[in-house]
Order: sequence, then C-alpha cells, then structure tokens
Amino acid sequence: MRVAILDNGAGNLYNLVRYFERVYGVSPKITMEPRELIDTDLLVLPGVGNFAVLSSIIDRVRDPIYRYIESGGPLLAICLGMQALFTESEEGGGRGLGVFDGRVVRIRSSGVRVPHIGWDPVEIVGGASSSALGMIDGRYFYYAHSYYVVPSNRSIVAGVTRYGDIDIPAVIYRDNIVATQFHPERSGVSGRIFARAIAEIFDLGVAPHV
Amino acid sequence: MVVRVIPCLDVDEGKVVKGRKFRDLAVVGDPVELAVRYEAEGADEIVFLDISASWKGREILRDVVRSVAREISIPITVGGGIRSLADADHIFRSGADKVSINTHAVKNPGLITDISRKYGSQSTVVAIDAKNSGDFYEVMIYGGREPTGLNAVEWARRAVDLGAGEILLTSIDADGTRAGYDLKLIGIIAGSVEVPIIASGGAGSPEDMYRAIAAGADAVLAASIFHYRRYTVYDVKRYLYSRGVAVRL
Repeated sequence: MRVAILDNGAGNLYNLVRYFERVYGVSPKITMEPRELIDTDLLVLPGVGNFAVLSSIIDRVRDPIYRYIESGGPLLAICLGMQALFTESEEGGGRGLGVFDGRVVRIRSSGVRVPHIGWDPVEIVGGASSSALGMIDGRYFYYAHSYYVVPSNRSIVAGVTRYGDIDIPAVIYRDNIVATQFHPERSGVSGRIFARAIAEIFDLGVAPHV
Repeated sequence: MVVRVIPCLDVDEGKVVKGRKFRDLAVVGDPVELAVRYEAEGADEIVFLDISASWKGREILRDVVRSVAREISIPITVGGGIRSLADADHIFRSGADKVSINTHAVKNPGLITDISRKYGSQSTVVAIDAKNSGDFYEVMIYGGREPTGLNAVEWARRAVDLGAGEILLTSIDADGTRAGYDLKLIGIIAGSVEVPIIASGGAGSPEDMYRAIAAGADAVLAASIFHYRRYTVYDVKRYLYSRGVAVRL
C-alpha cells in the first residue's frame, strides 16, 4: 500500500510518517510531485502551520489534488488540512480547495481557552454511527487549533466534540474523503483505532495493529 | 474542558536529571524509558526541557527527541536553549509537536512571531519563569538566575499578542519545594490571557494539582513526584476525577 503526504514545507511531519509506519507498516512519501500525489492509495493533507502557508502550498499542486479527488482516491485531511478543504478561513490568506461549502471560523466561546489544546471525546453522529467510524465513538483525541469548520451541509459532519458552547466538527466524512480536526497521529491508542476505521472505510486492505 | 497532566523531563547531556533550582543534579533515568512509562500511565503530553550547558548537549537532545518520538504517540513539547527559528526548525524536524521558548523570547520577542507564523500558535509555547518580588511577579531568565525587570502579567499578554499559543508558567519560588504551586501567580496570569496556562513548579501531591486547576490552570506539570514514583500519572488523574475535574482516564 502507498501513502502520500502533501509536503507542508515545514519539515515537521515526522510524527505523521511514524504514525503510518506504526499503524499500516508502510513508509509514506512526503511529496509535492504531482505524479506521486495522484498515484497513491491514500493521500494525506497534513495540518500544522497556518491557512496562508498551506494554501500557498496547495496552489502549486491544486490540479493534481482535484484530479485525485475526482478519480475517487481516498483522502485523509488532518487539522489545518481539514480546514483547507473549504474555500477560505477567517485566519486569512489565500484560498483553500473549496471541496466543501462553508466557513472556517475562529473559536469564540465564553469561558474556554483559545487555542483549544488537549484531549476531548468525539461523538460520532448521524449515519456515520453505523459506519466503521462508530468504533471511535466516545474516545479521546488530541486537538490543537484556534479555528474550526462550519460546513453549509451539516450532513457531512460525522463526529463532533464539545468545546465551551460549540459543537466543533471533529470528523467529516463524505464519499472518498475523511477529515479530522484532531490529530490521530498524536492520540495514542485512539489514533490506532481510528487508523483501523479508515482502513475499513477506504478498503485499504491493511489490518492495523491496535 | 479536559485538564491535562504533563510529566516534565529535564534533560542534561541526554539523561533525565533532577536537581533543586538547577543545583545538585542527579541522574534519574533514560528519557525514552521514562516517556514510554508516562504514556502508558496516561500522560496527556510530555515536556522535555534541555538544561545542557554545552552545544554538544543540545545536539544530543535532538537525538533524544527523535528516539522518544519514534516510541510514543502523544504530543511532545521541547524547550531549552532555543535561540532562533533555525533552532526551532531542528527541534520540530526531530519530532517535537511544540517548542517552548523562554530566555530568548525575552531577548528577542520577534522569535515568538517567527515560530508561530511558520508552525502556528498552537505549536508555540512561551515559558515564563516568575519570581515574587513583593510588588509584582518578575520575569526571570537564564534558568531563574537573571532578573529582567519585566512584569510577568505584562509579558504574558505581550507574548500572546506576538503569537504564543500557550504559557508554561513556572514559579521560581515554588520550584523544587514540593510545597504546592504558586496559586496567586496562576490566578493572575490565567485571568490576563486567553491561551491555556500550564502550571509548573512546586507540585508535591495530587491535591496541589487540584488546587492549581481550581486557581485557573488548564494543565499541570510536574517532574520529581513522577520520576520518583511518589505518584503515577494515573494516580493523579484518578484523584482529580474524584474531585470533579474532567480528565482523560
């Protein structure tokens, strides 16, 4: 199995690489090569950084990413990567992929800290409960973010986490795309269970060790 | 909000050490072994502070971070001796999720902005060592040895404006005493900024940690009580849970 991670240019993807080695026993490619981004069994849009930086990177490989998504290739987007699936962010700076309609807004809630940093339980909602994502329902995942997505179409939200008085979309799932606001690669055992759910959803043909 | 419990490992030349106020350093163990143990006990994150005096010691730290990152799958924060964006780059490349800057943030506040622009404020921790000087809490640098004249409240606000996403707040007076955190300091800083506060310095018992949280801390950090197995991370979390604090058990 091949995993390609979009190179965010910051050089801080070691933990994501290590995650895929651990859960799927494969060494992912960190790449900006259009061919490698398309010719893969799983494409990963990583987080960390800010919207402007990520959107300027996406600008260089926009077409290959669209082609990959349109061909039905499995896409996993993490944290800022999830936000980049939308068109623009309150954080400013550049365009996202615009795969989903909606907004990316700053956390504004009384009595809670921003950034939201730490572990919170995810609640799997709606139709996703009967999917493989049901196996992460109630589990704790690690978050580190100041912005979150507000999709126009709520039916793509597969999981939420409560923060202050906001239900933050923690998981988005539609067709060949799964996106998480949390960091599965930093979420201990929960992250490994998530990898199993993803393997099942995308039919990756690997049986992750939990 | 779910509170975090964070073991801190002071690393000197590749070994975890513990000393009181940077004196009488004793080796307490291997960083990888301790980090693995703490993850198994339920640690929410692990903080590494490099206290090596030498350039070689800092080189070794990168190897330590890499070795730890290979073995654990919870967030790692690394601080100590980070002077420039290039230093931070090296630490991130080794597998750190966040970097913590202290002395060099005071000397060059633009460093906070440089790191947070590239890696995001959620990966940029500013560590503040504060000492009660009677009228106010004064920011100390160089491991608590050098006063700056800066008011910790004002510095915390400025650091957040510049891009800090968390404050790692250590009371120089309480550090190493195991007599409890400086609750007044925690309350003042927690009430002055919007970002999470990690309380540090003085933890002697789970009850001390409960008090720090009640005073406004979002995370509690401790070293020796965990290293010497007075309490496990799990003990602390179970205690906090029994007092009605939300934790990940």
